[in-house]
Amino acid sequence: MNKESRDEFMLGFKKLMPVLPAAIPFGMLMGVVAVDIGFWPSTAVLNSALVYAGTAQLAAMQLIGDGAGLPIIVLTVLVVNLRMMMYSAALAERFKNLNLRWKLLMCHVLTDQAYAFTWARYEEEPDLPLDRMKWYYMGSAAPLGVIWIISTSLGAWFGTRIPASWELDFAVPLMLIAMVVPNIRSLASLTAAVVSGFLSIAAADMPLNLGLVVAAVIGMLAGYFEEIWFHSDPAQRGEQT
Amino acid sequence: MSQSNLILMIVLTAAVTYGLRISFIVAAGRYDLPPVVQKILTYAPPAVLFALITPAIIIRNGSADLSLGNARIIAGLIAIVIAWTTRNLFLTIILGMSVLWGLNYLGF
Repeated sequence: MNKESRDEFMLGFKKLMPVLPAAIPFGMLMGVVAVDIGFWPSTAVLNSALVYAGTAQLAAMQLIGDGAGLPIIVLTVLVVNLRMMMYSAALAERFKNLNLRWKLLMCHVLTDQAYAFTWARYEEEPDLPLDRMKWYYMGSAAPLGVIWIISTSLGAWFGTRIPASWELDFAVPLMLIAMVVPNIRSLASLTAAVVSGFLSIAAADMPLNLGLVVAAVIGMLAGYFEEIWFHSDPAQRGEQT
Repeated sequence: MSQSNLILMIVLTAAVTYGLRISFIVAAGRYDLPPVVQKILTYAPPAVLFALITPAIIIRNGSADLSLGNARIIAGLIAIVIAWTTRNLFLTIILGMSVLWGLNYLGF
């Protein structure tokens, strides 16, 4: 790593810095909640290290608490993380000349933030050479992963067992609300949320938590039809959760 | 869920997530989703997450509880308003939990 690479890494890191303070308590709470629903502290940390996707991890926690089976959990994580595929598609052309080892490493730390920062850097400097760009990406991506693992560990090992009367399980839907609600910026996404929320209650008695799938699919379609029938402005959307 | 099932869950959800992350970067540009499907999927976050959030608030002990005695409804609605207006993760969680504890303390 020469000086140029180091400067580029630091540039990305500086961009990421404001995000880090929020990630610490979030990760700690993730560790506490995971241990609360039955993870060992070590498996809670393994979860954060291997999955490394806050919203999807929370969705899985909620479903484990509800007693859902593995297929529903995996399917939910797949859908919640589908946006990663869109980021992957957007960055593929830029990164295509990197060697496989770099690609595999970079993909593991691909997050909403890493995508957004890297995209912004390319807008700023379209001709930035790839061997500098990859360090910028790493600077804006990798430290968040480190913080995520450390803070989950702190929560998992030092979050004392909290009495049931505190209703800590309610922190999971609250965190999900905090992640998704600020990104509901069009009538179409509001429609998706309301239709899906209503149906999730109506279909709550379906076996194997299939009500979740039915509610989510119909909610997505409702959002889509709201958009094409009533022409709400797609440019206002830009959700990322 | 047993610890071995939790580990299996971690491995499977990690594999799915990593698969999505490497999809295009490693297998550059060999396949694509139809635009209609892509559009529908932009509504996945609000739809999927509200299908998780709503029952977590409304279903108590196995059935829907829409009465005032369910303090989570008021706490959840307040949290939604706070999240919408402040976009602050921690304020949302802290105030949401505080409202729940306050209402429980008052005997709701």
